[in-house]
Amino acid sequence: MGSKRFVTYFLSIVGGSLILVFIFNFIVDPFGVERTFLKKGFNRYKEAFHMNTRVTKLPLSEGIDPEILFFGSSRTEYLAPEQVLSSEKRARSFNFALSGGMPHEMRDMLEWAIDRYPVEEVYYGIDFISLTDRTPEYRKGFDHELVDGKQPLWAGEARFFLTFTALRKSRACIEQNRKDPDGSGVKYQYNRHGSRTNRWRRMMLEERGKEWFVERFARTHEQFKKQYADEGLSLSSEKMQAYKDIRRICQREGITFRAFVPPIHFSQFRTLLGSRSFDLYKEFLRFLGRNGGFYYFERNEGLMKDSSLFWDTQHARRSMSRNIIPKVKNPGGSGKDRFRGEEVESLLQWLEARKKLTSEMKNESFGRGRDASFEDPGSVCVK
Amino acid sequence: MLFNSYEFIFAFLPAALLGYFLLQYTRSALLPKLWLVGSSLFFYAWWEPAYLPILLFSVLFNFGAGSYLNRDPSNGGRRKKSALILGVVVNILLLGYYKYAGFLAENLSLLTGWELEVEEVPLPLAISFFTFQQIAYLVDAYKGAVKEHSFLNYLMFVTFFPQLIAGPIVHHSEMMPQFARKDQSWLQSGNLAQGLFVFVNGLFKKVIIADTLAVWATKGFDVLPSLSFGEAWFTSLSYTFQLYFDFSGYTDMAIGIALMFNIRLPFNFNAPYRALDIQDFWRRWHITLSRFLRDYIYIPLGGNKMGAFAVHRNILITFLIGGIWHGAGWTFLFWGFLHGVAMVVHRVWSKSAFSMPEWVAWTLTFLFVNFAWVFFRATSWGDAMKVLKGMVPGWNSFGFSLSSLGAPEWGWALWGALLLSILLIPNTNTLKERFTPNLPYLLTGCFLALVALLHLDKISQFIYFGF
Repeated sequence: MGSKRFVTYFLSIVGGSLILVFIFNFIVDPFGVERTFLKKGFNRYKEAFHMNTRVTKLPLSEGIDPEILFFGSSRTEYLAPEQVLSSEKRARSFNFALSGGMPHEMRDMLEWAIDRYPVEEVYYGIDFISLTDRTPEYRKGFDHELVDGKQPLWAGEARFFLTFTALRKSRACIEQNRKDPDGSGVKYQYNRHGSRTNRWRRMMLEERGKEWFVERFARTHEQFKKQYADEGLSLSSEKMQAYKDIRRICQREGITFRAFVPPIHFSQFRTLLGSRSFDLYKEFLRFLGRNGGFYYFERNEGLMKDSSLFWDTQHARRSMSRNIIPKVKNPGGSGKDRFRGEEVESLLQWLEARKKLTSEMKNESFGRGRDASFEDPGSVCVK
Repeated sequence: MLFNSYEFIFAFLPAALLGYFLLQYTRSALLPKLWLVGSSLFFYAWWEPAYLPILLFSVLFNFGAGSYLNRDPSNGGRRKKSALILGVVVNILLLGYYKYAGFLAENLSLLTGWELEVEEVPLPLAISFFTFQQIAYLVDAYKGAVKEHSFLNYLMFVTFFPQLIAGPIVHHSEMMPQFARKDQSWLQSGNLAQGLFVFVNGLFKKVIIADTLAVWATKGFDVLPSLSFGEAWFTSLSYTFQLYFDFSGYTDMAIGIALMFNIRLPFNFNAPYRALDIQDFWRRWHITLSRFLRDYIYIPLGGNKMGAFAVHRNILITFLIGGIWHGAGWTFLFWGFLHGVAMVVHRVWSKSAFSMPEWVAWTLTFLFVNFAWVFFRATSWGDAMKVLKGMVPGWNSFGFSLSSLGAPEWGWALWGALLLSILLIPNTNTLKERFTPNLPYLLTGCFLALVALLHLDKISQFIYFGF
C-alpha cells in the first residue's frame, strides 16, 4: 500500500465512520436534539432516552445567542415567558429555568451564559420552595459542564457526534427511568427557547390512559401538601446567598435584573396560604423585598385556563405570562405590582386577607370549568 | 485552540493544510508562508487575542536585536556584548513580569515585612517557550552561528503553530533552514501518512489515557483531605503517568502536524520511564528543554570542565533554573533541587567502583522520579505532604480501596498494564521510524483515531500549557 492509498483509506474509514455515527444520531436522535421525525421502529421511544434537563439546557441555548435570559424553577419553565417576548420579535431570549432549579445552579448558568452571550436582561422567577432547605439536589449525579467543566453530551461545535460519555449517560437515564418511570428530571422535551413542551405528557396519556394521570394528579398534590406541611422546613442561607450573588453579578456586568414571584396553581396557592409554612413564605417575601425588590401579581395563584397543564397541580399556566411579562418589562407600568423593602408589608396584609378568604372558601368548589379537574381530572382530560 | 478539540481537528487543521499547499500553486514563495504565519497567529489568538501583541513584540524585538548581533559576526566587540545582555535582560524581564513578579513580591513581603502588592496578571500562553527559543537565537547570533536571516522564516520559526504553545523547544538552526528549503513545499503523501499516524497516537494518549488518569490524580491531590496508603500511591502514580501521556501525547501531535507540513520537529521523549539512572532519565524526558539548559546554562557556567565542586554547583544551578522555569512556586524550585541533588549523587556514584543490578537501578530511578513529581504537581507544601505521608506505610490507614478516588477496583490492574505498556510497547519515535503504509498501521491508526474522536467531549487542557 502506498502512502497516498494509506491517507485515502485512513480518511475514508475515519470520516465514513464518523458520518455513520452522525446518521445514526440523526435518525435515532436519542436526546431529541435534532428534532427530526418520530417513527416507531426507529426512534419512537426517544423520549425514554431524553437527557436530564440540566444537561439539555446549555446546548439548547447555543445558536439562539440570547440577550434576555429567564431563570427559575419549573414554575418559570412552564410559564414559557420567552415566548411572549419572542412573539413581539423584540429580542432573542432563552429560558434557563429548571425543574427544581436552585439559586446556585442559576448563578452558575448565568455566569456560563454571560461568558458566551450578549446578555442585557435577566428575569428571575424565584420560587419559595427553591429557597428552602427541602428541595432535592437534582444536579447531583450528573457531571455536566457546570459541575466539572466538561462539555456535556455534544461538543458545542459538533453536537452530532454521540460520544461514549453520551452513551454512558443515556444508559444512566434509562436506568433512572426504570426506577422512577414518572419521576422528574429526565424525560422532558423542550421547545427551541428552552421551555418545557407537553408532548411527552400527551404520549404518556395515550399510552397509559386516564388512570395514570388521575393517580399522578393525586400524587403531586399530596407531595405539595407534604412539602408545605413540614414543620422542619426553613429558608436556606446558602440558597439566599446564591440569590444575592446573582443580583451582584448582574449589577457588576451592567445587566438589568428583575425578580418576580412566578404564579402557582390555584389549588396549591390555597394550600400554601393555609399551611404551616405561611410564616416562612412571608419571610421569603420580606427577604426579596430587602434585596432589590420583586414583582408580584394579584392573580399570582394562576387561576387561568390552559388546556395543556390542567392535571398539573404544581404549576400555573403558560398564558399567565402574557399578563406578567409586560408588567415586569415595564417597571413604571404598574406600581402596585412591584414591592421593595417596606412595601412588602402591604403585600403581606393583602395575603393575610386572601388567607382569611381561603379558609372561608374551604368548603366551596374551586370554580367552574377546567378547575373542576381537581375533583376528577380524568373527566376533563380525555377528549 | 487545543489540538484535542473538534474545531482544531475538523476545521483549523484541514484549512491550514489546504491553504498552505494550494497556495504553492501560485508559485509564490511568499504566500504559503504568509498563510502559515497567519494561521499560526490565529491559532495563538484563538485562546486569548490580548496576548497576541506580547508575542509579536517579543518576535520583533528579538529579530531586531538578532539582526544587530548578526551584522558583523567577526566583530565581537563590547557594543555587541552589551546588545546581547540587553536582549537577554528584556526577555527575562518580560518573562519575569508575567510569570514571577507576583511570586517575588509575595516572598519579599514575607522576608522584609514590606507590603508589596503586584497586580495579578494572567500568564500569556507559551511565554516560557517562545522566550527560551529566542534567547537561544540571540546567543547564537552573538556567536555568529545564525545562518538564516529572513524575517518571515524567523517569524515562522517562533510562531509555527504545532510547536508554539508547548514545544518541543526548537532551535533556529534546525527550523529556519527547513522553512527556507523549496523542495519540501509540496504536499508529500509519505509525510502526510506518517504525520497522521503520529498525530492520532498522540491524540489517543492524551484523550484516552492522560484524561482518564487526570480525574484520579486531581481527586487525590486536590479534593480528598487525607489519603490511605493505597490511595496515596495510586494518586502519585496516576499523576506520574498522566504527565507523561499528556505531555508526550501533545508532543506526538505537534510532531505529527509539523510532519504534515513537511517540517521535522525534534523528539522530546524517548521512553523516559525506562531510564536506569537519573541522568538517563533527563536524556529521555523533555529532551529539548534538557538540551537548552545544557547548551545555554550548564555549559556557559563552566559545564563539567571544572573541579568537582564547581561541576556539582553548576548542575544544581541548572536544575534550579529548570524547576523555576516550570512555574513560579517553591514546590517547582524544590522539585528542581531534588533532581539536581539526584544528578550530583548519580555523578558521585558513577565515578565510584560500585554498581547495582539493572532492575534495582530502574526501580530506584522510577521511585525517585515518582516521588519528585509529587512536589511538581502539588499546589502547596501541605498537599505534597498529604500525599507523601500517605505513601509511607503506617502513617495513615493501610487500605487499598480506590473508591474514594472514584477509581474502579481494577485500577491497580490498569496501572500495571500501563507500566508494562511503557516498558514493552515501542514508543512513538520507534513507531514513527518503523512506519510503513500497510494494513496493520492503517487499522491501528483508524482504531486510535475513532476511539479518541468519540471521546473528545472530555476536552481538557494540556498540563504544559500552564508553564
